[in-house]
Amino acid sequence: MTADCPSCGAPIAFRSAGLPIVVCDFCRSTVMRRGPDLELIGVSARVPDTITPLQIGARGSFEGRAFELIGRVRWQWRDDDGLVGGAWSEWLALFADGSTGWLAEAMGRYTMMTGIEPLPDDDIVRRVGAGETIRPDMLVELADASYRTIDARTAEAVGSEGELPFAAPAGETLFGVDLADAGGGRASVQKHGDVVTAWHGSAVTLRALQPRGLRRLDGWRQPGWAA
Amino acid sequence: MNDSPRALSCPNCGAPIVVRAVGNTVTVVCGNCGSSLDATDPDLTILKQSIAAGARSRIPLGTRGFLAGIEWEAIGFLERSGGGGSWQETLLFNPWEGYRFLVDDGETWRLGTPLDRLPTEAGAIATLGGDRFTRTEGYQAQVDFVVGEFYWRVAVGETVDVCDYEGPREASLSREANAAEVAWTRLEPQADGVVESAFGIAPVAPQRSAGLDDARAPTFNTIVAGIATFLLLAVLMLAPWGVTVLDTTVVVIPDGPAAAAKFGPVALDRRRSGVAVRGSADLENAWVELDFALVNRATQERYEASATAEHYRGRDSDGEWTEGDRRPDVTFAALPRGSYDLVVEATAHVWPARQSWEQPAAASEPPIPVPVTVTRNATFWGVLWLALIVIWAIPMTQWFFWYQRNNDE
Repeated sequence: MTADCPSCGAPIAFRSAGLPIVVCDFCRSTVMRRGPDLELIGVSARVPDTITPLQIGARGSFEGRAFELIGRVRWQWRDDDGLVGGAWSEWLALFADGSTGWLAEAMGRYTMMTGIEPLPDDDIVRRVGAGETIRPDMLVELADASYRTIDARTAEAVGSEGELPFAAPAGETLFGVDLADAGGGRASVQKHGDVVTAWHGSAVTLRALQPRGLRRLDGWRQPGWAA
Repeated sequence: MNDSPRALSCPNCGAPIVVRAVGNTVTVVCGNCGSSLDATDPDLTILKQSIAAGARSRIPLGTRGFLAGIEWEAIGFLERSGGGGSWQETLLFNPWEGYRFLVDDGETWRLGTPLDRLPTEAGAIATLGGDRFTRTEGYQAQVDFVVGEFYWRVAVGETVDVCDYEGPREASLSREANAAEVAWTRLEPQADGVVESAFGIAPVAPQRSAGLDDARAPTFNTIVAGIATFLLLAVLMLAPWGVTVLDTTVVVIPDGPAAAAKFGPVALDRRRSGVAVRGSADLENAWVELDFALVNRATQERYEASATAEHYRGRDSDGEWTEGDRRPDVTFAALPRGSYDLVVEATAHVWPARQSWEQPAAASEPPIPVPVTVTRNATFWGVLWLALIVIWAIPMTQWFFWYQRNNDE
């Protein structure tokens, strides 16, 4: 489905039927879908320059399921002294069955995760909800699986683009705890506003995703498996 | 979106600063004055004033090399010590593969891969992918020197708790922990010479001993030297002329605006290098004008040259004719050592006379891709002369003494 941006009139495309937010590529307005109506709810910051082979429209396959990248939020976190400690991108992947997942890209490493339902007695979900301090290398249980905590941080959005399940204006914050297991499995518990969500998936290499439609990078020879 | 290396200058000393892993890099340490800078700030705020830059990586920062088929660029360098020893680490980057560490303890190079999966620990044994690793005594490691760019906040004096685990085939795991996080790395030893040849750095020269007390005429040594000279010249004739240091493509629209692009780095690590830049275009009855400039990143000195890729075909009273060079090249005779950017400006034109009757006026020509390669002269003239001197030193000295002795008698 395509429509005209209510702010600048440029065409905007909705590839997913279920996502409420799209950022206009042209004027960066954040547009919300309410039934047949489009509503302007703000302006998104541009994602800062980042060396990455990914781009919106790139396709791949995760655990045998084809996906396409349709949106991105760039997050950063700060050290105790207030300096930016690092940043990463969350690419929204739309799977062929209409479901979505997040492909996280941090320092050239990738993790694909999809939403899961935590169990009522998962302590980590309660602790994240209550804003408790979480240390690295703690053993935790989530949805019947054991993980170790990798890090726990509050992140702020610095830019966003494409289609998204939520608006991510610059400065929007999110608290997340990253979990890993011995098999390369990854999970995350996140608090966005008052809502706590749980995610699981795995660490992946770009190559294993059989990517297509990647960006070419100035001055670098694209590997043969990337296209 | 822009992913070219970002060229900035040090707010402390003004030296050029290049950020190659744009978006990942948070700390960049000036190679000239040693100031630690905040790469997440467009103004490069100084985090720490200069800590005299001194030590250098054996692999110059900005150098690229292939290890196991993957192209890596050296972007950061650390000297660390702890547990009674010291070692050097070079941070490698590739946009599709992420980061690796090359650890040099003075004897062996080891390639470190940050682990995506955690080993399973039971007592002193850590298991990873079927391999068992045995824990050794832990120690504290500190950073003694740092230069280049890093995806974490690195600072001289910073310490982490390290625990090494020794595994099969001299592989090892390293667990590094501070208050905020735990990081695991798997280290694999590299065979002798692999890293040196990948990054084009010199191995240690072998020693030769001379026997000058031989009273016989040194005919045998002279023949050996003659054969060695012949082989050396034969290798030089058969060896490829150049090493490709940059391989890229510019796309230009016929009769459109000039296409301009910057590529780099082109690292020239000899005192003087001969460099050839070749642009090629698969075209017919069209020409592409190419302006090349090699700009030294440190001094901003420009070296410029132009070439035209062209090819025409036609028919006249003598029959079919073709002319033009689709793959022109320009050469720069002796560029000083340094890291360069290649700036390419290209304009393309289609022979208007043919276009007017063969094609509708409104049809636009397809864009022309112009692959551009930069090759650097591979002939080591300095090394060649040195080799000749080494080869002939012994026989010539021996002849000298033999001649003197015979005269005395």
